[in-house]
Amino acid sequence: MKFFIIISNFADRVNSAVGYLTSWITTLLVVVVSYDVFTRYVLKNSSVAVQELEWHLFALIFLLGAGYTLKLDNHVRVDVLYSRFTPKAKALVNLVGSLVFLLPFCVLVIKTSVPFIINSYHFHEVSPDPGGLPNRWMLKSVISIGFGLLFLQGLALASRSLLTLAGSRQEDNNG
Amino acid sequence: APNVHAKTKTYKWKMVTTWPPHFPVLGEGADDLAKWITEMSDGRLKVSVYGAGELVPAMQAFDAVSQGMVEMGHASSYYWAGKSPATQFFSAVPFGMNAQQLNSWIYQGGGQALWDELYAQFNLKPFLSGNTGVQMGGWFNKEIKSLDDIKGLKMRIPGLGGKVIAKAGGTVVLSAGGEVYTNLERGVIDATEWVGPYHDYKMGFYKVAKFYYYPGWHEAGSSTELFVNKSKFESLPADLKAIVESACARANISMLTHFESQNNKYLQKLVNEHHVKLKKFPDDVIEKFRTLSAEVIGEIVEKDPMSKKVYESYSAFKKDITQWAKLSEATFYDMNK
Amino acid sequence: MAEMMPLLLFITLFAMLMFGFPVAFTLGGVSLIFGYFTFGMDFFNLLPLRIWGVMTNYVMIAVPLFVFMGVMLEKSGLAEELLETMALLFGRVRGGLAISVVVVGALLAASTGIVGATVVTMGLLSLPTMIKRGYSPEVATGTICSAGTLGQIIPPSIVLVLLGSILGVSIGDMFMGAVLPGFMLVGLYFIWIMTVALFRPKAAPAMPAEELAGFTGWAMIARLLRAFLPPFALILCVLGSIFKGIASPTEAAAVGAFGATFLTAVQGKFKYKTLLAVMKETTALTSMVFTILVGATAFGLVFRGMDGDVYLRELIVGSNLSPYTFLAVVMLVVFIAGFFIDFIEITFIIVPVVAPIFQHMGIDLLWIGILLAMNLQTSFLTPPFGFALFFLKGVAPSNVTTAHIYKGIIPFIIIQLVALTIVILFPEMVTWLPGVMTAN
Ligand code: NA
Ligand code: NA
Repeated sequence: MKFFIIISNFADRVNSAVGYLTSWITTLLVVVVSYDVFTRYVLKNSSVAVQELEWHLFALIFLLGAGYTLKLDNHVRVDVLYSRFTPKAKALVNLVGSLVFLLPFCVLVIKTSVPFIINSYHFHEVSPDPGGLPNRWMLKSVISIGFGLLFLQGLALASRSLLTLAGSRQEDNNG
Repeated sequence: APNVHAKTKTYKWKMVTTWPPHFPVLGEGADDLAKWITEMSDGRLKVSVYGAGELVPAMQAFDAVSQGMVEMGHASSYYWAGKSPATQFFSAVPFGMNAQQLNSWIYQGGGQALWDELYAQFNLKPFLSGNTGVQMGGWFNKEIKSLDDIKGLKMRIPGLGGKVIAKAGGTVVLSAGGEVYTNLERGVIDATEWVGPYHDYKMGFYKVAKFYYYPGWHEAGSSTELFVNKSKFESLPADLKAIVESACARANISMLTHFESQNNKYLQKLVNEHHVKLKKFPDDVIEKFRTLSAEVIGEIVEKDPMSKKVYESYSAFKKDITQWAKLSEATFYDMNK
Repeated sequence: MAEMMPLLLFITLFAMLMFGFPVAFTLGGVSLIFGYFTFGMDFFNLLPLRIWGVMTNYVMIAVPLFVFMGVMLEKSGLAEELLETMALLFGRVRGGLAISVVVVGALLAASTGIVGATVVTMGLLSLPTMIKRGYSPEVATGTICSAGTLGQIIPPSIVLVLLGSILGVSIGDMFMGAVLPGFMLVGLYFIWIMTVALFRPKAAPAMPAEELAGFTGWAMIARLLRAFLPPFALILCVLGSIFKGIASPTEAAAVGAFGATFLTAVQGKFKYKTLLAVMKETTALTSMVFTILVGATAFGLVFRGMDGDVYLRELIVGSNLSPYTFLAVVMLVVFIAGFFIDFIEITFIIVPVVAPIFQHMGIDLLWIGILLAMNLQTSFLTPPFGFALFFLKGVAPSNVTTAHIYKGIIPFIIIQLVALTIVILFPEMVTWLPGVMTAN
C-alpha cells in the first residue's frame, strides 16, 4: 500500500513541477509570436528560426503538459454515466482504463518513437528550410518525454484507484 | 540462378507521397506510376498509393520508407534538405539545370551513382519519376520594378529560393499549402511561388494575385522522385527491379509532357480570360538573384562534403551541356520564331 | 470476418467511451488493442510520424494563443462584464444573449476557421454568463458548439481548402460557394433560438426588468465605456486584422493574447496569481485538445491498417445507383462516418473515390463540395465523437455535464440536416455567388 502512495505522490510532484515550467511556455509563445509580428510588420523582416520556434513551443506545451493535465483530471471524459457512478465505480473505471488503455498506449508511443528519434540524431537532421532550427532530434525526443510523464501520472491514477477500491482511501480527488 | 519461388511470389507494397491524394499532375503522377508497376508485373508487384496524411504526413514519407515501415515514397528530393543538403541537387537548385539537362546528368552523366550513394546512407534507392518543366517565378501583388521592391516583400518560397529572397531583403513566410491562397488573398503574404500555368490555374491564384512573374529562376525544372526501401528493393527478383526502373522512366517522361503540353493553353487562359498581368523579372533583379544563388550554394558546399562532391559533378556537367545547348537549342529557338 | 473488424472497432470504441475514461486514452488504447490483434505491432511504427504531423501543424499554434486570450479575459473578469453588458444591450429580447453568442461565434469562426480555438474561447467567455443568466445548460451549450463549428463552413476554412484541392475545384470558388449556405445556417440558428425563447422562455430568458431599468442614460453610457468598449475593441481588432489581411490568425491571436493581458493590467486586475492561473489553464486546455488529436491519429492509423477505408469505399461504389440516390448514399455514409471519424480522415477516404463518379454523372463538383463541407461540419457536433462537444466539455463548469451537451446539440443537428436539404433542393444557393463573381 505504501508503495502506491509513494509513487502517486512522486508523480504528482514531478508533473506539478513540469506543469509549472510548461505553463511559462504559453507566455513565451505569446511573446515570441508578438515579437515575430512586430519585426515583420514594423521592422519589415522576419526570421525562419523564429517562425519555427513558434511551433516548437506549441508542441512542447501539449506534450509536456499531458501528464500535468491528467493530474488535474482535465482530459475530457464522456461523463453521461460516469458522473452518476459511485466513487468506487469511478475508481474501477480509472484502474481498468489506466491498465488496459492509458499505460499500454504510452508504452507504445515511447517504444515506437525511440528509433524515430535515434534516426534523426544519427543523421544530424535539421530544418529543411534555410535559417531554420537545428537538432530536430531534440524536439522529437519530447514525444517520448511527454508520454513518459503521462505514463508516470497514469501509474498514479491506477495506484489511487486501487487504494480507493481497497477502501483505504475514501476521497479520490484524482478521478 | 533463377529463383522459381521468387518468380511466383507476389508483393503488396505501399507507396506514400508528399502530395494530397490525387493532387493534379504530381499526385496523379504517383497514381500512374503505381498502376504501371502493377500492370507491367502482371500483379506480382501490386502498389497502392497513399496521399499525404493518409498514412503519414507529407514530410514524413522519407522516414517511413527509410525505416522500412512502407516500401516506396513519391516526392521531390529537395524536401529532404534537412536530412542532407545534397538532396536538393537531384530536384532543383536556383539557376540549376532544366528537365532535359537534369535527366542527362542523372541518366548519363554520373548523377544516378551519386544519388544512389547519398540515399544509401538512409537505406533508400532513388529513381527519377517526373518533372515539372521550367516553372514560373510566382504570383505577386506587388510589382517588382527594381531590387528595392524585393525589400520587405513577404513571400512564401521554401528552400534555397527562399534563402536568396531573404538575402535580397525579402521576408520569407512559412505557410502551409492549404493556407497559401487565403494568405495571398488577405495580404498576409505579398507573393508566392508555385509551379507553372497548368498547375497554378487549378489552384485559382489568379483570383487573388495581380501579377504573374517569369521565369522560374529558382526552379528551372524540378524533378519528382520515387524512393524505394533499399533492402526491400534488393529482395525483389531481377525482372521486378527492372519493371520498377522502367515504369519510373515512363512516369518521368509522362509527367513532363503532361505539364509541357498543357502549360501554354492555361497561360493563354490566364492572360486572356482572367486578365492576369504577365511580367518578366527586371534584368538587374535576375542578375542579383544569380549572384546570391551562387553565394547560397557556396555556403552549402563549403559546410557539407557530400554536397561538395555532388555539386562538383553537377556544375561540371551543367557547364558542359550549357555550352552545347547555347549553340544548338538557343539558336534553334531564335531561328524558329 | 476481416470486413467486420472496422465495424467492431467502432462499436467497441463507442461502448468504451461510455464508461467515462478520458477520450484521448480510450482512443489510443482501443486502437492499440485492435491493431495488435489484426496486423501486429510493426504498423505502429508509423505512429510517431503521425504524432510529429500534429506537432508540426503550425496552423494550430493559434489554438493556445486564442485560449490564452480567452482565459485571460475570463480570469480578469473582463469577459463577464463584456457579456453582461451585451446581455443588457440585447436583454430586451428574450434569447438576446444567445443571439449575440452566435454573432460573435460566426465572426470568430470566419476569422480563425479552427473549431478547437472557437469552441474553447466561446465556451470560456460566454458559457458561465449564459448559465448565470438563467439559460438552460442545453440551450447554452448547443448554441456555443454549433456557433463554434461555423468556422468549418464560413470561409476561410480548412475543410473547404481540403475539399477544393481533392475535388479539383478552385479554392476561391469553394469559398464563394460556402458564403450563402453559411449565412443561412446562422439565420436558422437565430430562428431556432427565438423559437425557444418564445415557447420556453425559461430556457432562454430576457434580462429582469429591474436590471434593465438601471441601464439607461449616463449610467448605460458609462458602463458601455468602461466594461464593454475595451474588450470589445480588442476582439474587433483581432478579428479585423485577420479580415483585413494585416495578420494571419496565429499572429492576430498572439496580439489578442498580448492585448488581453494589457487590458487586464490597465484595469488594475493584473496579478502574478492571475497570470499563473491563465498559463496553467492554457496549458491544460491545449494539452487536452491535442492529446485527443494524438489519440485520433492512432485510431485513424488502425482504421486504415485494417483496410477500413477500402470497405467504406466499396460500400459506396458497390451501390451502383442513379445520381440522386448515389448522392443520398454518399451523404448518409459521410454523416454516419462523422459520428466516429475525424473529418480529415473522412475527406481523404471518401472524397477521392466519389468525386470522379459525380463528375462522370455530370454533377457540379462545387455543389458536391459544399454539401460535403456542411455534412462534415455536422460531424463536429454528432455524439459521441463530435470534437466540438469534447472541447466545450473541457472548459465547461462542473455543473454542465456531457448529457446536457448531448441533449442540447440535437436540435442543432436537425437544423444542419434541414440546411443540407435546402442546399440539395436549391443548388443555386451554392452556384449563384461564384457565378456573379466570375461575371464581374
Ligand atoms: Na515551385
Ligand atoms: Na462526430
